[in-house]
Amino acid sequence: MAAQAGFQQDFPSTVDIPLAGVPLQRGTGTVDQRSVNILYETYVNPITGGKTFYAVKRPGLANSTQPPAGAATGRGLYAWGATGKIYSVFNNKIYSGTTDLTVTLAASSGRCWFAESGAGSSAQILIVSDGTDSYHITTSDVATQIDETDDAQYPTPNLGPVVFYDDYIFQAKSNGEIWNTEPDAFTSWVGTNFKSAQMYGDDLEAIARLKDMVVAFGKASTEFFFNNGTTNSPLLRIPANAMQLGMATKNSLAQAGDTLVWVAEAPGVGDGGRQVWAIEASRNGFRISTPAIERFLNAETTSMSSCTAWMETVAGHLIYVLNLSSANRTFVYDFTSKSWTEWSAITAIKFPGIAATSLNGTVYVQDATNGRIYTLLPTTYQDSGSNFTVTLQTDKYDFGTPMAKFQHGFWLIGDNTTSTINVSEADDDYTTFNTARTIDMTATRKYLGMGGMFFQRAYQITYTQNAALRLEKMVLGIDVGNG
Amino acid sequence: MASSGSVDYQSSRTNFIETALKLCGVLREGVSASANQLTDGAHALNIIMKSFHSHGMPLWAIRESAVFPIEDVNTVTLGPSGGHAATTYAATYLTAAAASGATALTVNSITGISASDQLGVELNSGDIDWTTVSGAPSGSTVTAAVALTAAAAINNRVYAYTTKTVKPLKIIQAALYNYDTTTQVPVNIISRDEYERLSDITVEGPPNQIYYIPGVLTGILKFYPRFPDGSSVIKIWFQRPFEDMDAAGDTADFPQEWENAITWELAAHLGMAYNVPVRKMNMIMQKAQFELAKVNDFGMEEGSVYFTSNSSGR
Repeated sequence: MAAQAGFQQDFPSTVDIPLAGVPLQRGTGTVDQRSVNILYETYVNPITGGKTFYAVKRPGLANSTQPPAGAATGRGLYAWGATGKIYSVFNNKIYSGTTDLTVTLAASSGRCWFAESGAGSSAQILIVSDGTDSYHITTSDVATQIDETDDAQYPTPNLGPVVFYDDYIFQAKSNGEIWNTEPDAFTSWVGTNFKSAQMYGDDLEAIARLKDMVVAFGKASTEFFFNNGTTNSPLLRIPANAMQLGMATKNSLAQAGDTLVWVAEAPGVGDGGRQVWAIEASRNGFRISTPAIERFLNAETTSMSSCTAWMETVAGHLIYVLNLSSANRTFVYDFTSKSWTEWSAITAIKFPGIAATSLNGTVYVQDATNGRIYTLLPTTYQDSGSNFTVTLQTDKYDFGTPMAKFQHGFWLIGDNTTSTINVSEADDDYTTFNTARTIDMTATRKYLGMGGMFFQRAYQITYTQNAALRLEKMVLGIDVGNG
Repeated sequence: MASSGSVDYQSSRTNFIETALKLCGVLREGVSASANQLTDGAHALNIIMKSFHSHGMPLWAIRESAVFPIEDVNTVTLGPSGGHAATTYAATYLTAAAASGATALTVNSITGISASDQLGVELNSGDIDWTTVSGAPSGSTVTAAVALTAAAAINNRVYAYTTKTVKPLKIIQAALYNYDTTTQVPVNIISRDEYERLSDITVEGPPNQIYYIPGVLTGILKFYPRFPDGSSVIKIWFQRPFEDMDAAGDTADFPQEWENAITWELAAHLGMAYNVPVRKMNMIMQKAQFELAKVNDFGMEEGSVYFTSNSSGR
């Protein structure tokens, strides 16, 4: 509760309220403080130490390509620097740009995983894994299916995630075995070439690479391995790094460079509830979720495995985007501002992008269902040509006194932009937001008078225009009544 | 640009309440008052209007009513549940004699007489038979619901009215009007003390003194002497009560120039209830006082003031 004291009764006062706030939902509804389709930015003046906060409208989605030329389920997206092309999986097809690579992913569904071999490898390839088979794509866009018919020792079924590390390709099974190919022989799997993550008894959920380590995420623990150069499996466990912190689902795993983020099952840090954790470079892992976010995670129950997640740096913000299936909402953690917001589609449902990649400074996002790949651009203010709504819903304010408050003025401080913004208030604990008033965002003075009386008030600001939006704060003119 | 040409703007009860709440800063722009606010505001508005009774007798609130003749009493109750007195009525006379037991009455004019109206017929004894009109009058015939108890001769007076007079707050003038002679004679308004000093109030003759006791919903008018016949009515001019604002869409029973004063008075009342900050409350109260004084001055009759000696012998 961000109540502010300091009012002198019977003297008109103004109070600044920055339009920056973390999600404070008491449950899994839409009451309490929340921000939708927003990114926060904080600037510190190094001379004065003063801080400026901005709530900035999120980038929009512009149509880029539609590889399957129609609706199809998106399963993965990857920009391969070796070819400068975007590779995608829709339904059971792999596309290079909009070209169908004419292989069919047999009997698999869900997320596909990508890894590229090193440029120094004998034949640089892009590996696509669906957990059943692998597909090796050459720089000439020739795709070859790899399964047990090619090598009887091919680890199938596997978890899906594929890691390229020091000329090895690693894939893992749920029983904890982390398999590797022969070095620089990406189709050569040997029955003894595996290392087991077995410090704890849990099943393995995913593997990932972090700097010079392979990270094995179990359902209740995490182990780290490095390349020890040993025969068969080159991996050697780093026992001291192991954590009793597992992964709720591999579909929550996202990576951007040396940052890994996932939804953890956390039996070792409390009651086993879900949390979002991150590991940046070689630092210790740390929890980035808040209790409000974790309530949503736990409410997903078994639907958690249907989530999608991705990370990219967008408009100067490194973000982790987590789409929750049951809640049908998207929560976004911004590593830049260290804050959570929500993103939504043009209707109040989860953001449509389920995977993302970046190429030449542009972020590409794959749609969950319509077969499209979008660009996610800070200069695009719509999603696929339709306006989406920015919502800033504040905490309840009583301004440090239970007495009646009379709001004689409301000023919105922000950049001039197109058309009008809507402002409404709820004085009854979010039960009813009154009919919104509009502020002309082209006007220098963005003001509303006659705010009425309240005891405790929350504000909701919404903007649904094809235009940029950057707001700094709202300023309230308040008189305190006599009782 | 042309002016509207209309001069009929009036605020509804809801308009008054919501405007007052906005003046207090209670109601947000563009937001309607809640059900509770409207209920509380309606109550406040009505009691404020009732309190305006005490502000004197604005010219526009002076009403005339007639107290109809009634035999063998000195008292009539005035008000919606009172005796025979009305502001709007028809006064005519029989153009054909009516026998005792008759119901069909032939009158000079049926103008202003409607079905179910109260109907008073002067009998030959000078008494008045009061009944109601049965059915719509037609031609020159009015049908009484109850037959005459005695004969009534041609030219005997007939009175009819639909609605009883409102309760007078204060009677400021009275006169006895005789329909036979079409003459009007002033009637003295005396005090309770003076009335109670009268020796034999059963005397009949043209009433020339009245005394009025206002009550809660009705008042009592005492007159002296008693009506001798049905030829005359006592006309009274009085300050009428302001009408209630019962429904949300009701307009005020006040001239338009009063609407601002009413709004500010209501704001002052509601401001107290909603704990409006003292500084603003003071401004609202000053404004309310100013507007009320201004409109009160405007509503008073502009005429000469006469000073005379009291010759009533007291």
